Amino acid sequence: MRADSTAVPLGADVHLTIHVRVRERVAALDELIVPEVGTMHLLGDERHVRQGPGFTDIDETLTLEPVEAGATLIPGAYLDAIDGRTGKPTRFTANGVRIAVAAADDKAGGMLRRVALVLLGLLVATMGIVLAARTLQRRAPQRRAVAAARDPLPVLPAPSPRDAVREAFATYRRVPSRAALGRLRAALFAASGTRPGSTIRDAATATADAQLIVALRESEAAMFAAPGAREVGADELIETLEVWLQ
Amino acid sequence: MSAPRDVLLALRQTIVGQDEVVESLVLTLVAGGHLLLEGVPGVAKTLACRALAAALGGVFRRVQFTPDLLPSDIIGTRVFDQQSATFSTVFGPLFANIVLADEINRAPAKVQSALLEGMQERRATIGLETYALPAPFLVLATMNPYDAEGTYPLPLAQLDRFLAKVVVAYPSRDEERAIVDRFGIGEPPLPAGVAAPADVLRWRQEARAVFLDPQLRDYAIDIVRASRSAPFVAHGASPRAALALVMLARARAYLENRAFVNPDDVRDVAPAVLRHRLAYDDRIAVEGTDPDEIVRRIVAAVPAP
Repeated sequence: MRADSTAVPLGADVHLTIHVRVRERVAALDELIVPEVGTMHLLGDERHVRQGPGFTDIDETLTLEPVEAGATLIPGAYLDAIDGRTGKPTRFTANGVRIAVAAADDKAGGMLRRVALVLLGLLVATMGIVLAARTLQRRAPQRRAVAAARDPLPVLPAPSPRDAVREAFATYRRVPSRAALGRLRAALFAASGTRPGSTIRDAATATADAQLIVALRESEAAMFAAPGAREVGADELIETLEVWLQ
Repeated sequence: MSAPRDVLLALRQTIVGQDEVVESLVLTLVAGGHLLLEGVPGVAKTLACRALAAALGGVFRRVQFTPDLLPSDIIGTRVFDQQSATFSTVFGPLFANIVLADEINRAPAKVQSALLEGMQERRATIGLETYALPAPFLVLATMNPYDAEGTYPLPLAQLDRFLAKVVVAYPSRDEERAIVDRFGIGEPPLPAGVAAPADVLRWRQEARAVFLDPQLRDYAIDIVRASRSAPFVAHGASPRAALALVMLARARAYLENRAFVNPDDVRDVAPAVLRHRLAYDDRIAVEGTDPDEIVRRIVAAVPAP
């Protein structure tokens, strides 16, 4: 997951792109759960699917508008799916992204900060090259020792299925698009303990949570009813989930 | 005003168990297709068909297919009347609202072909005249999977004309006990006057208006396409199977009083649509794999939207 800019002034748009590669040809990936975007406004949500020989690349771009100054940590998007290598249900989580938002009256300061960031970047790059050159001169066992001494990357705890529903629901409330509804349905199915691609009958067998099944039925009406009749299902879904998530 | 569910409930009062058979009868009726029932003798295939005909009223005809049957025996013929010195037309049992073709695979190909042409075209030609068959027109054909001696297996192209095929299994122990209790003292009366042929025509029209989301249309197509590359399958289902799948899915949604098709509708009717439309390779016999298991795997492998 990456942002086109990690330091933006207040009011400027920022594009957050989630890239997923699936090692098979798929038409869509409704199970991808986009992250909670904190205090930013979600202005748009665009998805591109490219299929290649034996793989599919999916790029989902969220257009965000910062509305508060300060740093925002956007947690990684994730996907619950069966790992083709192990055959087990696995959660694949992307890296989080930190975005610094400068206040609107801080444009000049922002410019200076950008210049300073560029200079700092150049300094870090130079130090990196020097360090790399010196490391290459060392023997292999020493390289391994350096690698072992590094701190492990912090691993964020995977959100619970209910948290995933809460996130997907919040996104759907902000932008009630079909893509967002698809992700909400995927989160609801995951919460019922069923695999992606299951139906309500599978979910009803897997869980005793009657309210969750009601929510799934309503999500089905919101998704598959005739265009003029979907709003009824959507309104009922919102009411049910507001109760279920409490 | 009656609904298909009334017919379903009436059939369940007559037939013990066999839920898939009873539901398939009603779904096929609503979808406007024809149904093939396969099962050993004595598992209520014919009774189910007779009960459906009784519940609907209209004209019901039963034809026992035998090797000496002729096309004119089912379509009808022109007969010379010596008194008036003219030819008159005698309509065969095909001219009915519900036709039960018992043991369809026991008649030769030309008779099967005459019946299947009527099923497809909904009209029949006697002499030089072509006559429209009554509406609604529903053919229920039964087949015994055993006793293959002296039978004429239906070719795949002709099987494709049947909207669905159900396998009528042996009843469970409890169901068998209920059958003995219910039928041991004589056959109970069949349901009558539950609906009229005009109701069926209305149901069909309303079922066609059930909304099918494009995602579910694609799901149905994906299932049919998956059958063409499945293990053990030499020839997969034709595009007619995709049409049958969405017709039956709409009928199922309508039966459940829903104005739109859901993924369960498509998935539930898929086995009945696919099982008679697939040709298997030789490995299936060598490995002793159940064809229905292959169909189940095909359906399960396609993720629902």
